Amino acid sequence: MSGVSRRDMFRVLLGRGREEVPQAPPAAPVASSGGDELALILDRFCLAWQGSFCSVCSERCPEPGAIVVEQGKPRVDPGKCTGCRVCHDVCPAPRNAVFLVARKARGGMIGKTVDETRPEEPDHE
Amino acid sequence: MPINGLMVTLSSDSALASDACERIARRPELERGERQDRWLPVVADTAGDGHAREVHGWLESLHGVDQVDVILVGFDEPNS
Amino acid sequence: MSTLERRTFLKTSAMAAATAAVSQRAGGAAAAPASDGIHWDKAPCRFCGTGCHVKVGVRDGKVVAIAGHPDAEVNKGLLCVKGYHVGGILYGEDRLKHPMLRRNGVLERISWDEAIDIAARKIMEAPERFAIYGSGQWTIPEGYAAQKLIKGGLSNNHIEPNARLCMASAVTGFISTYGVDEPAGCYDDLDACDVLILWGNNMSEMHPVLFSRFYDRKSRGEKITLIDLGTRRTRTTEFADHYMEFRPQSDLAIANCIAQQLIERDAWDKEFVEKHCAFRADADLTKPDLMGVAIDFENYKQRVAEYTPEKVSEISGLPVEQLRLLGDLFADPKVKITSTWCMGMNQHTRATAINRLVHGIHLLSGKFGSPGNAPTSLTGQPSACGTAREVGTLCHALPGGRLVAKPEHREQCEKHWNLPAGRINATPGHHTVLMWEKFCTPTAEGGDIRTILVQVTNPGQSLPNLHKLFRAKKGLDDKFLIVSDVYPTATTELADLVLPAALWVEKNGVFGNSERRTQQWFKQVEPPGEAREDVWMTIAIARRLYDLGHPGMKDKDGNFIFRFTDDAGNEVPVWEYDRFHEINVDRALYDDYRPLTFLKHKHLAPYDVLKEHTGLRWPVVEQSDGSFRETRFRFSEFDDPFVKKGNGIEFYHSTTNDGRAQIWFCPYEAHPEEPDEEFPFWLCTGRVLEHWHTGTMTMRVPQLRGAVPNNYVEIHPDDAREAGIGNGDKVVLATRRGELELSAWINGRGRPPRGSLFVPFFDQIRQINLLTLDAHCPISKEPDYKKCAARIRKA
Repeated sequence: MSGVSRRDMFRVLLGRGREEVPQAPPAAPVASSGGDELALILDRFCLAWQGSFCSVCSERCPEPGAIVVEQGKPRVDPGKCTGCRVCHDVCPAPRNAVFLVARKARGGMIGKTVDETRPEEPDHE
Repeated sequence: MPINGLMVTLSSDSALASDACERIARRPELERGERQDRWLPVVADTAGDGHAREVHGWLESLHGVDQVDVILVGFDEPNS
Repeated sequence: MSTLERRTFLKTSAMAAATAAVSQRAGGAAAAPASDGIHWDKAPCRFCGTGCHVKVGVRDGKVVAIAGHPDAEVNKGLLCVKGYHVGGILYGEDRLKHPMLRRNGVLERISWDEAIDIAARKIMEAPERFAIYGSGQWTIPEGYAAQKLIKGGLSNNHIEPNARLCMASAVTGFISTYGVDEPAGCYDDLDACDVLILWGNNMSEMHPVLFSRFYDRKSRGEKITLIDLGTRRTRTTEFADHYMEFRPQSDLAIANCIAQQLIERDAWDKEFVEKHCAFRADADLTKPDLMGVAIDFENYKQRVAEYTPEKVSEISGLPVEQLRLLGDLFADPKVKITSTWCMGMNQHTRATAINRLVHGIHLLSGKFGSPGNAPTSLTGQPSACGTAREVGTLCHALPGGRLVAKPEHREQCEKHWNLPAGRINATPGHHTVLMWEKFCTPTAEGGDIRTILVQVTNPGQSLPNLHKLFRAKKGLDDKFLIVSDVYPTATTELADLVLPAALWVEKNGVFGNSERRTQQWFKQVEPPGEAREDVWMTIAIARRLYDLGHPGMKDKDGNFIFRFTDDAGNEVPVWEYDRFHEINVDRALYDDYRPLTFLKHKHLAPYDVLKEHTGLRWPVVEQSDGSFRETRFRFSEFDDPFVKKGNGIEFYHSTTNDGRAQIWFCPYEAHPEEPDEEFPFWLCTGRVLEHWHTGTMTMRVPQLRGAVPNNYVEIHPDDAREAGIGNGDKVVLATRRGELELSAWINGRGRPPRGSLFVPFFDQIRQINLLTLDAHCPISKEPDYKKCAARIRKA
């Protein structure tokens, strides 16, 4: 449990609650929710996608609508994901099914970022 | 430091499948087992999450690979 | 092992598993297991009653890898989130490793010799006031040994499994309908049915692999219909074609309404019913019993006549169209229907009644006995069927479907165990709720249970109304609680003597799952510290009683009742732990038990046959070539060898001795604690996918604990708004028995309807069973954890 009290863990579980620390409004409107990273769910590791059942990532996600479950299978809405990593931390699959990718280019990075490969958003930043 | 046992389903096009097998053989972090028909056992020994993601993504991107299934994950390394 | 060695080993394991999967897929023979020091073996999963088989990878004495067993018919290589982590349950940091005795309120380490001696002396003080409380997690040999010790040795019938809280009502439903326990169908019905009706059964959360097996057909494009009959939306509802939300308790009226429509439309299966069925009802509704009295068809027809769709719509809240849809499906002779249920029907104050009624509509419509047509109860524990039901570790039962009340059954067991005639007591012992009530009542006030030995379960969290049935033990100085377990639990908190136990593949075992499948495994790793097998503890206590001079520990010839011999015929003193592993005691007990299964045609496979399979469904009958064949569909001539040729269907253990099953009439009756002004909500409790039972094992697996770290109360958004409750707010939930502070989860995983709350029971810190009701079914004595009246306010 690494120093996290049960109460804190519960707050994570019900992260949509009003006890959450209020987020400062972003300085300027951006297309994505502003985090540096974006969660992606690998269907080949995700229990829900592999014929078993699981919905932990969407239940514990503190951002309403950022992880959508359809027919039992979770999917990240990149426009709403803040990159907070809660879904990665709670994923109970034998091989963690959530990974985070950079939204913005970093030094030494080869290829494009997720945001850069978005099909629309002509006025992005 | 994840180690994964994978079952790679090769394409039904035998030329594409053979090409994929050769490409897999050239990756040092991948170890091939004995191919049977369209299926190839592969072990991925990767340095970390990022590396594992890259390897899996690469495997699935091969033209001669139809599908990659995870068969076994060593679980005694917490959060690997 | 160095990091490098471990990586090499893990790679070898990973390659072996991947190669095996490839061979399986390519249709080849399973690959030979890797020989590089690694050992792969099989075992049924430790958790629920589905009975998935796993492959267990061991090296250097530690379970290091788990894979779904690709050859297992039940799960075909698939596991649920718990199954993938089942190896982790062995390695929680706080495993119990030494026997401990409570002195001045503190548990202190003692030796095993002392522990066994103390246990035996406590029993010896008042053998008739001793009780054993186990569970559907007892292996078959463990349950059999406990059964023989108490009933055959101590002439005492106070033995119960927690299964009394779980499937006792399914048992009374089967017995009063067919004369013999356990489902006639099996999981193969899920592969063949056109319609699956879930009666208050959240299968994707509780039996996920089984639900995958059914739902996979739909993904492949098969036209199958899923009907979710429930009192709240669940994970399963999302997959349902029809969600039918009924008022709690009104399932009784709904089942009667289906019968009413079959008769009204003249669509019942006359040929099936005339050949194979009879009608029955309770003689006196105020004192219902297991067998009731015969009624004729006209009487039955008259009694169900009032359950018209219009009337039942008022009782249940189901629209008339939905009730008619159910009528249409059962009336259509071409539609194959499978019904499944679990705690929704079993934990019910009219549980035996609703079980009977669901069997009844299947019989009345002839939807029985062919693949896809079956009423099937599911179990929540890995050996609720194998041990609690088949070995009969209940206060009224003897092994193999026998009853303590029947002289011939007692005689058969006495003969089999070589005991003097009259050794077995004819009076049933206390059922679970009564046993714990008596234990928690001062001796001077009639509390006639003094010492309880608890094995493989956690009553301190799982009993209902815990203040009354468990915590009241505190301060009663002459009461003594002995608990064998693997971790500290809510039960060890009040234990006077704690015995550290071996868990799962740290011991040999045999389980029996929901579909009559018996599954065997071998010990694969050593238990930690001084933890030992429960079977050994039982035998060691018995031996100490023998040494102390208890006459019941000797058979007719003066031999110890647990006498085992080696191949040369010499007795092995297995009660000495360093001699315990000289022979396979599990096998010896199983071999001793197996002939007792023949009376009710529940023939188990020989041990040597079992060990070669991922389970076999009884009756397993020897063929003329010496091989053994399992039975998928009981009572059906095409598959069950005990049905006489030409009979088609035969209920050969009929309660009326004429080959007929009973179609019961039982009325709808209101619940004893319906919501009112003071307590306006229905409170339902249950499990979540990630945790099993009271969470003692799954909460030690970091991934599972992290996924759902604690319980909560699910509430409808409108109810929350009216009470000023926001998501995540602390709330106080109260019933007439107590109150509990929890956090609210609006909607939650289950989305309860208005006026309804749901709380999982796995959380040891916030125990919901402090609030639940101990009212129980008058026949099965199983309490209702699914319904009681509650109120909620913001803390």
